[in-house]
Amino acid sequence: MYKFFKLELEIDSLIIGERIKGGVFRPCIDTIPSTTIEGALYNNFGLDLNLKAVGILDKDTYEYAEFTYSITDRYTMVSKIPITTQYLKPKKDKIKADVYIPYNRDKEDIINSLKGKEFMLGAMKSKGFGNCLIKNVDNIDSNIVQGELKVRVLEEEAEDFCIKVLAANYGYLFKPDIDKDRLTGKYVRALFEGSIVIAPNILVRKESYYDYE
Amino acid sequence: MNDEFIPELHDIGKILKDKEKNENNLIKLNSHTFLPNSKDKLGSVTWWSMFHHKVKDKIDLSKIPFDKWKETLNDFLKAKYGDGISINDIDLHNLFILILADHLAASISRTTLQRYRGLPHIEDKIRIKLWNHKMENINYENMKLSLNEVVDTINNCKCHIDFLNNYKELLHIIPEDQSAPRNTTTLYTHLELVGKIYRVLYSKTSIRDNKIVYNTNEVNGIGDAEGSKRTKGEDASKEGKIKAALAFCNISFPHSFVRKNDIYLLKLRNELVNLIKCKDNVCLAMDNYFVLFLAGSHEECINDMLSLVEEFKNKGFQIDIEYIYADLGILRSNLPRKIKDAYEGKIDGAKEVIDNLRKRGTIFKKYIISKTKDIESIQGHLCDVCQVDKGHEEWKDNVREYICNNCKEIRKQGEPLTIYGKEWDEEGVDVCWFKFSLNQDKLNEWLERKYMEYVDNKVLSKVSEAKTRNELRKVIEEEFRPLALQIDFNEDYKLMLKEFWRRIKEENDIFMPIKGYYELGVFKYSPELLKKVITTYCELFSEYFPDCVDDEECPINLSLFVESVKYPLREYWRYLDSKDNKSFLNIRSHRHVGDEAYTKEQIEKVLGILSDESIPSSFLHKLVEIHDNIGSDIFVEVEIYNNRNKYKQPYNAIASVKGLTVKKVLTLYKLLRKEVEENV
Repeated sequence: MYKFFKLELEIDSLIIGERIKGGVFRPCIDTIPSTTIEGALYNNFGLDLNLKAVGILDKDTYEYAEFTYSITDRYTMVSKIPITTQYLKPKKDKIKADVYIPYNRDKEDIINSLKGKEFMLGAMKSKGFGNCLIKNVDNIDSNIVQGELKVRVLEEEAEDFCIKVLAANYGYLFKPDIDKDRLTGKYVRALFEGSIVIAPNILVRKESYYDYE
Repeated sequence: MNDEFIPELHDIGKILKDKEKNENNLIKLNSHTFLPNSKDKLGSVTWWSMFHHKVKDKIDLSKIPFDKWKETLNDFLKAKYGDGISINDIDLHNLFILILADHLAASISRTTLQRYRGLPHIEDKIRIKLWNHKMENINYENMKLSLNEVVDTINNCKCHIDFLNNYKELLHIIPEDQSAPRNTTTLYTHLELVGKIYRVLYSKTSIRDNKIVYNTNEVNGIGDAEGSKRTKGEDASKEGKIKAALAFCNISFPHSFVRKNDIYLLKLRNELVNLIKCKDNVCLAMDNYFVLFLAGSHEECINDMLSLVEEFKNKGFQIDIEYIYADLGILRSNLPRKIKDAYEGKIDGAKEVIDNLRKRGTIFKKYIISKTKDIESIQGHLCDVCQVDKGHEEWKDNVREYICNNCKEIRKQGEPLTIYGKEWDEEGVDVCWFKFSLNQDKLNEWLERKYMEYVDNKVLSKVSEAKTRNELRKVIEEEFRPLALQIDFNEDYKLMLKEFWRRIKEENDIFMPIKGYYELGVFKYSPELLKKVITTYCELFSEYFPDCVDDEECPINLSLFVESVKYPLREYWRYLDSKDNKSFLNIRSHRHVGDEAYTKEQIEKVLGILSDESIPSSFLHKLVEIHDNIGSDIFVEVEIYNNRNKYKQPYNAIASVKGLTVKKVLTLYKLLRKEVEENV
């Protein structure tokens, strides 16, 4: 068993994007990587930097859409080539997501106090994207199982989530430099969806029965 | 004597004409194994492959210790031919490995049913193609070989490829086994698998002091090599001394196509697959999937597997591998499923099965990933295309990009379709990208269902006692192994794609952007061409897979995406390659506000409505207007209902075809509108 704080979010619209491709198009992913949610909790609530978190979007509550905009150079008043960005919009009312934070008794009061608060998540906040409401805060116990990971989490943080890696599907996540300004940073290796792990079942999408190599 | 041992010829007796199989012409050993009646005709060591089955009432090598084989066989030969003919150690080594390969090719790939008591023996003599009953009408007896041709082939064949190529058509028609329900796989696939497995096993074994040596273990007989074939019950824990591996590999890539040149990655993948598919380790190879057979110690198997996929890894591909290593008695393509079922308590005696499987084998998942992923962190920018390597700044058309060396190399191969980037781009037209896909998971599920349907109808219906029938059904279902059927189905899929492009070739405006990669196509959007692609697909599916399911369970699908030529290629690909929510035919078009999945019945019904001259375009226009303005399916349905006496077809279609909605009809109408109007 492994214990987590569970934050239930309601989101209006969301862009968690990769970089712009070919100068005109920015794709959007449909998971909340650990670096994104940790950064958002820090920026909005100034929560302790050691807080680890990861998010999962409810697939039945969103769909992809596109938004085209053009950045204007305020000095020359000339608009650049329009950029199309993908975003997630609610299928009905709101996008729903759960954020999981490894339980820590010392942080219980702070985390519980987040209930009902709003914060901004992801990209293009100035255009109104990423508004999240923390609808509920709860504690949950999760069984440890073997299976396919369904979140993106930095490899160095895997232990914090009680994740043991059996077969890694790696990718990279941008990690801000917390010792400097948090604006610069580097890409750090991360476990992506599909990695075979032994982990709390809330982080696993399909159980498996493989041997350890 | 020709000393080239060709394992693919071991079942050549199955293509010998029935009328020539009499004792006057040959020495019959078993139903399809024989020797010539004169020793002058023994012109090749391949003749000894005829001992792979039990010699009627006499010799069963599977049950005799290996160190007794020489004496037993030479006594038999002396009795038949007199002095001068004998089998040496090399021949015995060949024969031993052939018997293992023959057993394994059957057991890894299809149900083996000999040992189930109560199962009726039904000799059918026709090959059942589960997805195409038309094959059942082919009488192949006249196509079979005469005795002289068979003897001549055995004595003079120097290379298995010549044999398989020369008799490809016949070997694809003849079933591996004539009795139901084993007559569902082709002899060709069986022979190909036996040959490959034989060569892989042979390379890892040697003969020493009348014993076969494998991984430093001395093996004295087939039973000693294989171990028990059971996973529960008496002797189920008996471990075989020869272990080998099966690896099911999915090829994927993290790349997102930014510019057209980036799709050359697909060409690269195609070339790499072509390079490995003729290797003996490769049982089945598709563009995004292959199955490997590996032998030796566990470490050797892993090393051989890594070296086979090394080039994929170096070029940035990711291989997701499900790997099984077990003794030959239990090495089967259904083992992962069996373990899963056992853990989930779906089979009787689950604990015993798990214990035995764990003792006698291992199964795990492995990701082979690009070497760049060995790097823990990257300073600066990631490559825009592959996102797993450091990107270097590049400028094109005043746009800054970050590209790694690997992806840059791929771009340098040139532009795959110049008309796309020049003419079409300048015109700003809509294009339609389309892609065929074969979902191997869906295929295996469907094959199992269809196979069990066949078993029920053909075999179990003859078992009168309900209890026996149910028990047999359970065992057969548990023991089903899809590999051979999967290989045969994949072959037909490839043929269908080739035929598609042959027929479509008449249309000069439909392009295959990567030559040799038959799944992907593109054309400048026009309703005529769109209809041509859809109808050709439907026709071909009916020809090649008339008995295959053709709805959301269909393993084959065609996806089409109509959008502006300027729309990001990455998004086209993401939709076309996605496995989620796909049906027989899938169409997406933002401009025509549609994203629909159709079954074959639905698509044919809608095409029927749109080509019905009695339905005026004004009526269909009106339906579109109602739908677009009010955004309600119900209002459109009411309109169709009110006009049901005038225009019966739309009303009947929506009322009778499962899952057919107004939106599906109108989406296709909008995309095919121009042609519809012209027709009317």
